[in-house]
Amino acid sequence: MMAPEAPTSQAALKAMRERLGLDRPWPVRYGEWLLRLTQGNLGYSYFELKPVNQLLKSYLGPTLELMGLSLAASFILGLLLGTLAAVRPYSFLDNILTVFGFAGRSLPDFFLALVLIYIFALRFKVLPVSGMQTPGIWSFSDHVQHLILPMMTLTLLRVVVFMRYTRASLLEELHCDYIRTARAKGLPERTIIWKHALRNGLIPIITILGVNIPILFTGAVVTETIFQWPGLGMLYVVSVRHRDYPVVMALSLLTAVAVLLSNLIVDIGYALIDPRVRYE
Amino acid sequence: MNNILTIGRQMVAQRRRPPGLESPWRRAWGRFRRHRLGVLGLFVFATLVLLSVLAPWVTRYDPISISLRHRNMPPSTLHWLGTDELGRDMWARIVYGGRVSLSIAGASVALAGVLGVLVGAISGFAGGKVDMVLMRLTDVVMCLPSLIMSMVLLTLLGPRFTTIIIAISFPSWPPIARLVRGQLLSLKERDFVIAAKAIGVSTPRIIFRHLLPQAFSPVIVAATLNMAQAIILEGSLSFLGIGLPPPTPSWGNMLQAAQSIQVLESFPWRWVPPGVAIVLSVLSINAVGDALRDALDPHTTKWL
Repeated sequence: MMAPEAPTSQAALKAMRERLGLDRPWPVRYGEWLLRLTQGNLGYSYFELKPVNQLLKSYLGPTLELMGLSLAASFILGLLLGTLAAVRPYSFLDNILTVFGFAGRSLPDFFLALVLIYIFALRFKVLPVSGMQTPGIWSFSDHVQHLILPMMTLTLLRVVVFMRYTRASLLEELHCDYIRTARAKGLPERTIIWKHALRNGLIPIITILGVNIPILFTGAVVTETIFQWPGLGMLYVVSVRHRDYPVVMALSLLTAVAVLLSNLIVDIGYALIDPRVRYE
Repeated sequence: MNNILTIGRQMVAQRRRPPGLESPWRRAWGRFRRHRLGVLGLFVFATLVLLSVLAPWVTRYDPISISLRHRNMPPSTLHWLGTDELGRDMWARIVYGGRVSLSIAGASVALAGVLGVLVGAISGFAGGKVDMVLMRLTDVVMCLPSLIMSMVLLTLLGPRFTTIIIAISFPSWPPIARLVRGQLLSLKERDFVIAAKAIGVSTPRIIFRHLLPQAFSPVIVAATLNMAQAIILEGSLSFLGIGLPPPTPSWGNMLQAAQSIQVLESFPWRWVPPGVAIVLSVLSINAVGDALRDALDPHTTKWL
């Protein structure tokens, strides 16, 4: 949990405190942190002994890759499955998907990840257990193999969210008058659903997508840790465990900025997609 | 003046149920019972709670006593779920761990509920600047994902039973506060509030006696679904090694054993049972929550 405490002399401890500037009161240190932030400097990691900026840069790539791909996959899959369920509500397929959605909502990521590792990596040995690539091998296919399990974990958990909202939103649209008009004038069902209903039903789904944007920058804390995927989520856990405060502060700041920005983007996006929305 | 008082009293009295009418709780229970998944969930969850409460009677083993001669034993008639790396009985650790996990989750939901209702009630009723400040406060808390929020809080406070409860409840009060605020905003404009004010009912009494009970059902539903989240949060924190320290068993820190590939591959009885316990409780609570939502407020699903 915490780094084991090595015996350190009082004098050495004091010298270290002074060197790191930890002897001054926290408001002063916070002020300095803010001042350095304005210059784009996030400080220096106590544990990795590297500038935090450099650390963030090297961990951002893997997170963007994993989260971006799984978010895209769950959005597309969720849209498809949700549409299939909404087209024939209460059919056999819809009921199956509802059960799947309910289970997906209740499954904790850590347990799903463990089960997937157990099945695919340990029992059938078709996929690697963890990491981003096998040490010494730098091939694309090896990397993809490492990507599959963490991506599967994240996609399975997120697809149910998109599926549920797509189904609800599309069902609502399909009961609208313009759909009846479209049917009355003899448009093929495919055009009605994919061109008319889905286009309007998509608006709330875009919001859900927007709300999920911040995870691109926070990563998946648990999933990345289990699969030893060197992304920002894993960095968060490691630095919290080591009490590496400059890194924790930088990551929290990054997350908060991502949340605020994506809220703004969603609001603007809303006005762009839906002409009924007007801001004062 | 006298006239207004009479009208006021009448309007307040109108909120009382005439004798002979079925109470809203009975009606809600009737609707709940029709939700088969919800009833099953309630049954499963009650069983889990009962097993945890009755832990000393459902196992004869001590969850923390070590027996090095019985290490990593597979399930048998002696040890129903096998033993762990120190020879501790897994079934005993599951039922005693349930006490820890479920009470942490329950306590944090209660704490978040009380805090959320209080903040939401003040915010919604006071309005103006107070409302603005409190709502910006909820914005700040909701800026960080709940797991990260709890993680950072817990490292600052140190992992103890009480601090874990605080760390888990902290990210979950803002949604409840917003829910209550939204309800109060519309409720406080209603005529019966003006009537209550007119006959001189004090503000706290209006809030607690007349307004909050009406905002109660969505809060109950939200709190139920929060409980599922709290169990997952406790599991995640312990799994990451920042929850309750050993030897106290909790479902989350038992799962931590699965971080070793050897345990994951060769001793599945050491990580499947705590995982299943977490999944079962979360599934059952979510089922109860869904049923409650249908039973208590069939019209509102907006906040989900």
